[in-house]
Amino acid sequence: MRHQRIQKHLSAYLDNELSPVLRKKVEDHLHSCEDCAEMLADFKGNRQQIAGLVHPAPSMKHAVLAKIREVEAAQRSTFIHIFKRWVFRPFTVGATAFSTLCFIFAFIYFSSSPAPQYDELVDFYFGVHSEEVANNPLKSNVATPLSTPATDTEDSDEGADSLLDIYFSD
Amino acid sequence: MLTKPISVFCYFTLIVFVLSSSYLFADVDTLKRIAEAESGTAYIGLRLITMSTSNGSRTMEELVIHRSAEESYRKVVSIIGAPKALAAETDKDKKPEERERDERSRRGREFRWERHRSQFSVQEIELIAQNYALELRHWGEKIAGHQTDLLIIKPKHTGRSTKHIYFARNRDVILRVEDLDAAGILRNMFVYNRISFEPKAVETKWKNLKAEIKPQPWHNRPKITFAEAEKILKKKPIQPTYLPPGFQLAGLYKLQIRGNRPVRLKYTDGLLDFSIYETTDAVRSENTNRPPNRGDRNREVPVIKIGETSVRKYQRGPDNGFGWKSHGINFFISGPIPHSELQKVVESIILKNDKK
Repeated sequence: MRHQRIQKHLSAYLDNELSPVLRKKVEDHLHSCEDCAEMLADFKGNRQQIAGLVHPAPSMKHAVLAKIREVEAAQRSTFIHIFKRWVFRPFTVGATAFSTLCFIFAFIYFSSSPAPQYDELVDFYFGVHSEEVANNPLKSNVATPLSTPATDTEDSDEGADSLLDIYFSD
Repeated sequence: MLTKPISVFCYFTLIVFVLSSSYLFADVDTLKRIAEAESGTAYIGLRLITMSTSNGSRTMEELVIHRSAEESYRKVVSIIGAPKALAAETDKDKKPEERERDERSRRGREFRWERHRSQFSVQEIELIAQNYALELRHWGEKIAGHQTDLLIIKPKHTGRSTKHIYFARNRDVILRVEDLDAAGILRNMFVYNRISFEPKAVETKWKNLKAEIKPQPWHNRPKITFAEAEKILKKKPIQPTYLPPGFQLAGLYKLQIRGNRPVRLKYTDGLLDFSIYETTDAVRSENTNRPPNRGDRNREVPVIKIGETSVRKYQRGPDNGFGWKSHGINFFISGPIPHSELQKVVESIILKNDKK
């Protein structure tokens, strides 16, 4: 029975988890019992073997983490990453929003009410009158006798003759 | 003994005066009746229109629906024959695709319902009576199945147009109009081929067309006072000291073309109008940057000198015009008046302005 109780504590003894009193009892027993001392030696051997097996795991973890950090660093150095970091700065966001608003206002202002071109204004003036006359059967717009733009011979037969010439030449 | 012949003469004179005055006033009344019927009578019809300008002659068919002065629309439904380009000079430089594009754009503008405005004031009728001789003839021929009478409006001043109005005897609605220029050449004409005054027919057509007609807002060109015009221009609007005989100021109107707010001074002799446009707002360069495919607009504009002022001379369809700038105002004058007459008006404005 005494062996069994001592052997139960061997693992805790190796881990240095026993109280000083119990630890003393175990040590006293090990000095006097070859079986238990042998079992302790086995425990120690197993532990060493296991430690030997477990040892590469931490280095693999470090290797993987190192690789991840390496890739991240490489990514950080790319143009997009730099651009993203620049764009999402508070100052850049503010400046971009401000300039977009300026652009929209400028577009609305210049597209809605720029000064008209001179010939556009001339078209408009002629249009105002012809629209009024076209819609009113009691108005007239034909006081000036016909003339060709080329001859511009108002009040003469020459203009009429040239008009007829154009028709008859067909 | 002596009193008898004098009495007879007096009675005779009185009778002649009464008869002649009633005859004259009857024609003015006819014109007033026609103007009233043009706004008050409902009808639907199909009419043929022919127009001749220096750019050629065009004939087209037009549908008209007239329900009231506010609900009156017209739409070109077919153009008969190709437009005759008399002004070959303006057209010859165009590429075929440019001509085709112009034609497409013109057709796009024409084949849609347009609001048909018939505005004719009492003031204008009175001016016609002053400046034109009115003659009513019982013509008796039928147009579109309706017995018609003819009202001839002949100018008292030289260089004006003559108008022949054929109207339905029992309804006073105009069925045919002929406009003759100062040389007596028929320039514009329209005649109804079909017309119906049946209220039921008008209402049925109106119901069918209502969805198709997209009422365009009337151009907002309100009449304004001199004080309002002064406020817009930031100076008093300049009026000419010379006007062609019989013309009067009909009114001032506020216009708007994008950022520019010109003031229009409209002058009329009743039948013919011309307008002076004044603006102090910014106008961009006179050199156009538009593509050179817009008819006679891009022909070189002749420039004449009046005093120290350079004046550009325009002609667009039947209208003539002049444009110039003086004392911070951009002026433009246009109307179907000969250049020689318009130039006198321009001279009176420039000289008046220069004296200031």
